Amino acid sequence: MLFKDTQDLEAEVTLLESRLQDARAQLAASEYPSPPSSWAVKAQYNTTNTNPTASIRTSLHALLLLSDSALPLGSFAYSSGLESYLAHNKPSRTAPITSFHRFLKLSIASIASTSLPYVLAGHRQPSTLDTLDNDIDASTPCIVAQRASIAQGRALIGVWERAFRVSFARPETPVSEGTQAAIAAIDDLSDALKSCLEEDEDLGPKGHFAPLWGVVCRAMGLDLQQTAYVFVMNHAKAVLSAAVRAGVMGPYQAQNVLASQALQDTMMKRIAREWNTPVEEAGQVVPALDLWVGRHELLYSRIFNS
Amino acid sequence: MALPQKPQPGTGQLEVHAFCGSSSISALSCTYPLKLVSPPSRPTDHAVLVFMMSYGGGLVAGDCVDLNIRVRPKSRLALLTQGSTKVYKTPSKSIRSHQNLTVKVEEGAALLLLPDPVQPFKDSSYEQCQIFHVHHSLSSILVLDWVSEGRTARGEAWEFFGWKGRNEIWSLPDPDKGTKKKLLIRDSMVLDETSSTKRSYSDEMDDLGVFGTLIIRGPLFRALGDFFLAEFSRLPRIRANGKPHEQIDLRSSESVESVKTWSATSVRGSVIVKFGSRDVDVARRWLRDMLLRDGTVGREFGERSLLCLQ
Repeated sequence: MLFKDTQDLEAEVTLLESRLQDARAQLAASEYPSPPSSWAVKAQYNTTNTNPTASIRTSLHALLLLSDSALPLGSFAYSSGLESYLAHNKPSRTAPITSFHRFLKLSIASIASTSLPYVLAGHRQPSTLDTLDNDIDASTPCIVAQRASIAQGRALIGVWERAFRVSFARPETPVSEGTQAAIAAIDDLSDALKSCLEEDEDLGPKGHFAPLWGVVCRAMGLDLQQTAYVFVMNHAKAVLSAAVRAGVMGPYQAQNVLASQALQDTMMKRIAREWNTPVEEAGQVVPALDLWVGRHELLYSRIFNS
Repeated sequence: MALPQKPQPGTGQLEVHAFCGSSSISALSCTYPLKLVSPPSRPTDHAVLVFMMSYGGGLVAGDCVDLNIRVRPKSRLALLTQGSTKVYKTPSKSIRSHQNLTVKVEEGAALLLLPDPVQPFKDSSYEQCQIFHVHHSLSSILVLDWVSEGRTARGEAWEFFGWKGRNEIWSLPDPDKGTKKKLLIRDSMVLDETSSTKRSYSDEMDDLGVFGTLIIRGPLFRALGDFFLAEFSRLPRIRANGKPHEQIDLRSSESVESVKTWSATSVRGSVIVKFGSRDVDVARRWLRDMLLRDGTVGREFGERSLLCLQ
């Protein structure tokens, strides 16, 4: 008798908490609360009780999947301009590590200012994915950066369709309206990409990474802050991984940078800055980076695609 | 009682139409501090030449210039300036100078925008927005947008409060095909206090003295776009660090050839050229040299259209 009551109550708690989670997600999508103050993710887990609930578990699981460097997006093939930067800046001018730190800071600032507004918009309004895809394509005035973004975006659709969709878009589990819209938006874009002929023209759907990232995270139950944080963090990881392979630093030093408070502060500052930036005002804050990335094609030998 | 409407300060209207194989101005008006001047055209000119000027040679804090232009089918307009557009010091960060330009370039029409660079002084704050509406395949535009580091003679190097520049190209809606207007290109640069990590933006600009973008689009400029792409692909390859003979330094500025810091790329029907140079005059000579070698601009718009690159 008592045992059954407990079970019922537990079930009710789970249900209520998942509804609370949905309501929070909707609130986040509707009225843009203040940017993440500091450790929003941690705070979120602290406010809920010590028993991990189903929805938290799902979101944590999705978070770990999406932050995994083994996620097959091919991100390891891109250095986001680091390779070209190194070739353009003589190592003798400054110590290589100092020079790399400068690049990392500029690179994070640039990815946040050019792409993060599209990530956030994709998460907030998944149904606008096709417009966001067109607009970010128009706003990337560099073929090298475009290729990198499209390749990773299409890989993300592939991973979603072949691996995640079956677990995160099951018809028997009730999902919120936003999640449904996100799933539908990815399906639509995927169909559009398949039906679009290669020679059609260069104004068709492209499948850029940033807006898709926002929408896929929404479909997998990540909240807005997690989505933004993992996006910027994954970028930092990719640049550091490229630095290790380009021989700028060793793997321990790279982890040291990744774990540092300085990197966390830089990321939080950049996310806060772009939190309310409409996509129309997204822009390049590091003009020199456009030159480095654009001139990657001129490198005599290359180990990366960007 | 309704007051008679006063014209907004800083606004301008300009309309150009095709006339007997040439172009002529059908409407021109402007209010202080904006001034539009068109020198008399010669019978051999295909294009109308208009200078955009402002009293005092620049913009003081709070100035707002808003120019609307229509280039009617098959006509040609060359828009130039007389000297760099100076942006003067603002008493408060929140008081910006604005410059907006909206141009509708209709079917078969062509626009050439080859101004001098914008020169933002120390402690200035500036925002510019240039929007071009074009027919997706039949309008031609060549837009140069460049900004310098400030008054180099006084040692200024990207020490303004803020600089925001945006260029957008939209395709005009086509009622026959039922297509809506679509964003073709958006090139946007943001340098403001929250974007930078330091007091000046020289790190973001990699210690360059001038940075610019050239957008080339449409049938009239196809050869010019291809020329830039071909020249870019012919640039010497850059070897990995340690090989001195082919090492390229972004900051070198010995000759015209030394504007090595440029890239050209073809995206969505436009060719976008980005360039940077330590010195404004080096960039100016390089641009002039490139445009003269291709020849399209001089031939179609007259030699005078290259005045700002002299």
